[in-house]
Amino acid sequence: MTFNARSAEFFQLAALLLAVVLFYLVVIPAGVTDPEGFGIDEGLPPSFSPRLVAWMAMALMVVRAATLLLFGDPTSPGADPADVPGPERQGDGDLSTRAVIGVVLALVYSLALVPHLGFVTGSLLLMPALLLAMGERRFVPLTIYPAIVVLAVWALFEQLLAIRLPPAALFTS
Amino acid sequence: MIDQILEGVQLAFTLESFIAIVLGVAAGQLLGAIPGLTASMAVALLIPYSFYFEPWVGIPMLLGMFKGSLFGSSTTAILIRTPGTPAASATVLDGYPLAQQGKGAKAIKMALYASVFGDSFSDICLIFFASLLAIVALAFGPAEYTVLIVLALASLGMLSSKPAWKGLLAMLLGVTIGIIGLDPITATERLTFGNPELEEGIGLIPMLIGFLAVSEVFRQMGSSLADLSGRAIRYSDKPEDNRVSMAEFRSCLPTLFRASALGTVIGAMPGLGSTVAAFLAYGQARRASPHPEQFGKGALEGVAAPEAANNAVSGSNLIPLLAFGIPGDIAAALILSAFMIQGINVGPLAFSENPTPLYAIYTALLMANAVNLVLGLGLVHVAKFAFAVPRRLLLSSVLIVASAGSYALRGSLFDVQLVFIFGLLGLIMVRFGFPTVPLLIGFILMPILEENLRTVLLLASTYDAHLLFVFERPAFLTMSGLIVAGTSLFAWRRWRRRRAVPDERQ
Repeated sequence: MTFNARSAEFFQLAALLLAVVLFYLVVIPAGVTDPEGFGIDEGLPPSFSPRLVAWMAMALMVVRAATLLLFGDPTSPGADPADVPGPERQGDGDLSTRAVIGVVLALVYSLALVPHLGFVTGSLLLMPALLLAMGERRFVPLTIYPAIVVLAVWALFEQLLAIRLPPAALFTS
Repeated sequence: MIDQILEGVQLAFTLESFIAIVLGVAAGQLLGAIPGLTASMAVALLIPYSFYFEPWVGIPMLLGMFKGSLFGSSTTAILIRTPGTPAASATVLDGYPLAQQGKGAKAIKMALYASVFGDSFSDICLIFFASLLAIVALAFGPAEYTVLIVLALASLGMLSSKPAWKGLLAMLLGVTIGIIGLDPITATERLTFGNPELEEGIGLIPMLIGFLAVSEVFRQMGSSLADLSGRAIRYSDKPEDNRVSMAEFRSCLPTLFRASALGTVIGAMPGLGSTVAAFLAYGQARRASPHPEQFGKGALEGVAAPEAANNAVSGSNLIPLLAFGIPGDIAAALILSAFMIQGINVGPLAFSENPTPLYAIYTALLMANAVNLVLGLGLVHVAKFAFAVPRRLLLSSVLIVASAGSYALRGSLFDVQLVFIFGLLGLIMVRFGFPTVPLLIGFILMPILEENLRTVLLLASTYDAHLLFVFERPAFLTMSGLIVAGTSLFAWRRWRRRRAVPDERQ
């Protein structure tokens, strides 16, 4: 493991440790209220599980940091082949602008379009926008394909399975 | 008794029940492939229609639907990293890498063979060992469940990443997300911060779709424009990449037997279900494999194990239902309701008083497996159409289906929003090398673990707070012994492998 990779891992550990400490000291007391007098005889208080998880996370990161400090990366040269990560598990380099645009579009869709315009209209707006972001410039794929997909999904859920999709609050109120 | 068996077989071997099974399996395969529709939901959708038929027609249709949906969900898990039902989440791990290598058809066929194998294995166990398995399953109490889940969490968290701490931390994050909602004992709100949407807890479907499918769509959107305008899924023209050879199937046989046995035992135990079985079988297959380094990169055994295990649950979760009248999971509860409405008795007395309907159901289960195999091979050909779809069209369609699927189960807009928030979180996690699958495992197992752990502590309080009471339980002792033996064997094999690596380099 190079110095830079080790430093990056230390930085990750420090940032995450800080986050877990904040979770333990701020989030748990604010988010979980234990009933008075509730102890081990009653099957543990509600805050037991989040506190236990936080302690485990802190212990895990401290042990990893200590291992890195004392031994470097013990799994690197003679590593067990079983430790080699698969493609899903590796860092994926920098996020591209398109991925960020995709995330923003999806969040706008779920937070604003679907609640106000409903599933059908919202999806008819999202899909061409996504296709445009992914470099599609032809008229037919930008118009006909989204219409077919949205219609098929609507027909499957609403007509065939009788499962309601999000309605348009703007049009119904 | 032979007369009753023959009578039962005759009842099931009719054209009507055969057509019902075909319809049930076909509908199950198609509904199972739709993200957001679980196997239980598929069964629930069909239940009202089943009452129009005779019990020997209606119930086989439901059973066929359940089996079909478990296999159908694996096709989308393999091709687009979107498990149709939670049970296929573990199939993503190796199925999707295989599809990326152009071996999607091979992976789906392996999933099909494994599903039918697991199904048949557990059905045979159900037929011959139902009473025995039910007794074993009932010997499992909260202490045994707790040990089993802790072992599963630790091993699955560690094996899925390098360095292991990232997998374990992701798993703990999943456990934390699982804590959100009402406390199971005191009904106190935990980490909801007054948001009523969070009181019910975070749904499994938004978690699965968000972390697996949506995060992958976001990641792939970052590909080059040339990649995005190409085919969605690579397709290999080589025949060996599109079929499972006899040699490959034979090499997967030990995995299939182990995973099916595990799935059968898990299915017989109320409350665990097919998703847990699939993940446990995946971990077990990886530990037992001579090539564990191939797991996560497209190992056929990595598809065979979870598929055999999750389908094996479908037969054996009828064991507590038929033997004691206790449904093991939601799907079994739905099937129990169908039994009751159709006037079929289940439970200990059913075998002594009127076992003929039960033999008819056994026959229908075996018929459904054969139908699942034949229709599944047809589905592979239909799935091939997905190979020709342009990537950008498929990616944008996945987001639309994801939002519809996440809304379907609870009718909540909040779930639609969660899907995309989890997609973003998944993208960030992958960017920093944190695996998302242990997070899902932690989330799935958290409620079972917490409920059982706290029950054990409550039980301990009745023994004057002596936790040592668990060592008086034969099932706990047997399980602990098996775990110690298994862990020692794994550690020994790992130690040997580590020693072998430097030797090979010299």
